Amino acid sequence: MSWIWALLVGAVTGVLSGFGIGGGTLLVLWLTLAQGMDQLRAGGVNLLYFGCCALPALWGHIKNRLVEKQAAIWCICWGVPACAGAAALASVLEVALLRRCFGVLLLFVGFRELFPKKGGREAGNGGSAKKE
Amino acid sequence: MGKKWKFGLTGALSGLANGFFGAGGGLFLVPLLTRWAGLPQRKAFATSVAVIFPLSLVSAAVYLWKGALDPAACWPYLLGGFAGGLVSGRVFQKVPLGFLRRAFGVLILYGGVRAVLAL
Repeated sequence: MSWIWALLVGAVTGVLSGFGIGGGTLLVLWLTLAQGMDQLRAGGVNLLYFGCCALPALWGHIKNRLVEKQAAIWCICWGVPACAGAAALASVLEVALLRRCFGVLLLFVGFRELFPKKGGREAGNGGSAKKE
Repeated sequence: MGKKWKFGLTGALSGLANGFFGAGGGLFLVPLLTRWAGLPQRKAFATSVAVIFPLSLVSAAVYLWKGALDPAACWPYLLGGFAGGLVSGRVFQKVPLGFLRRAFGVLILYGGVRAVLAL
């Protein structure tokens, strides 16, 4: 039965990941809180999983001309060395510390999502961001 | 600061989160791409998927190399994720992103409290 749950959780978080709304973060929470997996291994599952759900979603986004090419290229060029270095560092750190750091990041982002700065939600409903 | 620098720094920050936590790169990407770099919100969401995809593959390769990846534990999530990704690409233009982000905020605050307190 557990694989059915995993399939369902993967599908729901996959929809959110395809939207770009932290589905992977929720999957890591599920793996650590409900499945008792440590932070490093949960992160590993999520990294592979994201490859699977991003590809079909990306196909739709590209077809709908929603991917900003210049932004994507520059983000990837700088992001790849950063993530490779950070992943190597994570693998030698204590997992409990890793989980606490992740928790701090979640608290910060969750607070910003629920209580956006004056001027509106930065990405949810516009804010100072350019509207479509 | 020029746009290329803003995109680059945004990508670096999200790469750090992606590699370090195995998740969370998009938590930086979308707000920074909209608020700092001025992308329209729906384009920022879609672009963040395009960025996180290669970053996740690179991080996964490093995790695998360091023995922190268990492919056997992954497959049901991969299948579900692929199906979810197919759906999201088709319905993305029609969903209320604001509501979803608020619900997401509640869930990650809960997860954050439990992670920090090691519950």
